[in-house]
Amino acid sequence: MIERISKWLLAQAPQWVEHPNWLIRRTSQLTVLGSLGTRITVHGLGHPLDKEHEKHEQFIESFATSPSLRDYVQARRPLQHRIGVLARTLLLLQGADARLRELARSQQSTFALKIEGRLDQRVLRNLLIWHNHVVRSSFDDREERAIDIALVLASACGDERRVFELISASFMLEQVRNISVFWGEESVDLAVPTLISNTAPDCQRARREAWDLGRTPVDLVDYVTRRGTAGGIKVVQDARKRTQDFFKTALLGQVVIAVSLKEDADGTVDPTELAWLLHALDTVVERHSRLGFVILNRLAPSRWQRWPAHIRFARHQGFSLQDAISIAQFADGYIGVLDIFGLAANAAARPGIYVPLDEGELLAPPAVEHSPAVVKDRQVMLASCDRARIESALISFLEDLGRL
Amino acid sequence: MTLLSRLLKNSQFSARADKSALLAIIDFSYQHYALGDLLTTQVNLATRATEQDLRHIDVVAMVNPKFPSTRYQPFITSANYITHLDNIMAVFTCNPMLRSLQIVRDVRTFNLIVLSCHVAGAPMSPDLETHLAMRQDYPVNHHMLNSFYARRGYLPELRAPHDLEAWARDFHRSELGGRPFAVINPRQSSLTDSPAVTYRDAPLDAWYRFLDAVGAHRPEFMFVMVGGFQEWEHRLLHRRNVFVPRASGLTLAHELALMKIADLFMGTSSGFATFATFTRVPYAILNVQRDFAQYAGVNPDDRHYPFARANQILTWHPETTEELLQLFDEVLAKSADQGGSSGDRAPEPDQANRWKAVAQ
Repeated sequence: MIERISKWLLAQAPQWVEHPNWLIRRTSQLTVLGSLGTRITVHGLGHPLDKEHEKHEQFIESFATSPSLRDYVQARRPLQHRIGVLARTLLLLQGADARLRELARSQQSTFALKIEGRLDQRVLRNLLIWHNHVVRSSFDDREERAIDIALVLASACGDERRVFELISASFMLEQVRNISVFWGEESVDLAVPTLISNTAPDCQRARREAWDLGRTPVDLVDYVTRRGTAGGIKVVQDARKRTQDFFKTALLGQVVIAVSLKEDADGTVDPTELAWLLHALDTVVERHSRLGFVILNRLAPSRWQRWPAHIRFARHQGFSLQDAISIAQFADGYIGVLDIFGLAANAAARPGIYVPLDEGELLAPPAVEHSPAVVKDRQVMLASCDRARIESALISFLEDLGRL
Repeated sequence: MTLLSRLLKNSQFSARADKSALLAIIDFSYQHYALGDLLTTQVNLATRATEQDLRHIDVVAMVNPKFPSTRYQPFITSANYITHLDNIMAVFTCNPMLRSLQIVRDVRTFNLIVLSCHVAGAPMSPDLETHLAMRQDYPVNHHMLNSFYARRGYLPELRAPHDLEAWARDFHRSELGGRPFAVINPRQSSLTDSPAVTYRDAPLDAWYRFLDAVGAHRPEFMFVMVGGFQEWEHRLLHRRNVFVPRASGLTLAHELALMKIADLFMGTSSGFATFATFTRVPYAILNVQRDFAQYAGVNPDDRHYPFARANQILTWHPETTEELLQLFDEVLAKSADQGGSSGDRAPEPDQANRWKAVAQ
């Protein structure tokens, strides 16, 4: 009987909870929450629901984001405050209940990513490779699953000073919802409180093998280096705005090429690589003054000098890592290594010259000294760190872009 | 909580949580994205954990993308909350007892964590009742800290963001030439996208004269200007004795790490000043708002917080060049008396008079 009434009330709810009449609106909202409380009292947490009820759950959940609920909770009037807290208590239970059901029926949603040793440019790149080619490839194409990641900083003596960059990049991954960071493997199990209901198994604590971000399989790195990647990055909206503002104010009318080079251990650009690139660009820039280059890596302050007008350092103009990723995705072209910036540019189909981060990571070519470049949609995947080859590809690519 | 207990009475389940750790909830639907308040919260959490003989703190920061901020920060929206969140990530890792950090963007997961902790009877801050009531006073007061200090004679100290103190020492040696340095933060809210109480902004001309005066007499002394990229004038970069971390691609995390090893901090009462407040860094915190005295448990015009050292000084009015120079000398001299770091050097006896002349 209670169930029938509750079902009927829930079916009616959507049309009443936003009724213009205050009394009807509030009464129906309380009724919906009351029926929720009744269900949990009768069935307990984690009790499976049919599709119709699941739909209603999402509807109830939208109450949690209602500014008027917050107004009630934070109200000075005791009655309003009590009603608000009551509603919030029920919504707390509803959320926990829904998550328990989700855990019981869904596939793996939390993935552990281990970082042992130095957290560097390679680890940041491997995060995107893992996201695009390990996790996403395991999903059904039509599935838009949100996943949670647990970053496990396993080594006490590892250099993890770039952990904040790893978190920043994780915020931009399309599938990633919740991000946890654990210092030490032993804390993974201890730090997260869990609830085990009679109807839902203990899915929260189920141990999964961690993926080592420092040791991505060679064949996967080789595949991505030769063929690139697609999607995976959700551009932060205000980062996109800042990027466009930057292009329009600092590089107005120029053909913008994003650049990323190998970094030193401290996360700053390798000065030898930079010197070589600038030298290589000199001749092209003389012929094509519309080309403007935005270097996405940081530069050590002691290396700072007066740079030619066609060279900008985004990170030195107040842009964050997320902004720099956005610049890679919106520039007219990209040249540089396949690090997180290179992959972001590649994923956004930016034309460019893409060079391996480390040739030693690739599978050995069978007979030839250097495997041929893969060219698709003006994206040249060089799969070689040979400077003569890079320079020749670079000049030809920039000559083309310069004619734009 | 009687209601919750009644609702859960018939449900058969068990909960597990580590009772040797404090679960710290930062829910941005009612808590602020504010450097100072979040840093004070970290020290509050550490004192609470210490009082309860707990060994660790597990921080859970909740942001609902559809409801990302309090009513007082309406400029933080679904479209830009990631930038704001990303900016303050380092703050959580300044917590001296941090074991894990969870950034949750899904209400269901968050509610399950909170409920599990409550059912397991594990320590949580704020407690469930306060969390459900969305109760958070601003600014975060020092009452608990003052009473902890009164009883125990010390306060938990904020640490540099994770793993960055070693970076800061390397950086100081390699990029700043190991020179003695002060971290400065003259407030400039009027230069930001969301200016607020701009009458509290620092008088920059006074600061420029101060920097030049020190530069003339102590050219080896560096000033590291911290704060958002928008919060300084370009003229600052013309000075040889000034380094701006944000103009070198560094972030808040790097700035806090540099502060931790600085010879002194001088700046307006704000987020960076809060970091200094809860470390051993010698400081002069300037132009503290008189209203804040009640939250800090002091009287307006008091020169020190109850838990401060002799070289940690407060002022309660807008600064002048002369006062900046005097404070600079005083803080360094007191630090030298206490056996400060190698960067500290006591000023010469007639220094104060010379500053006066320079300032004029």
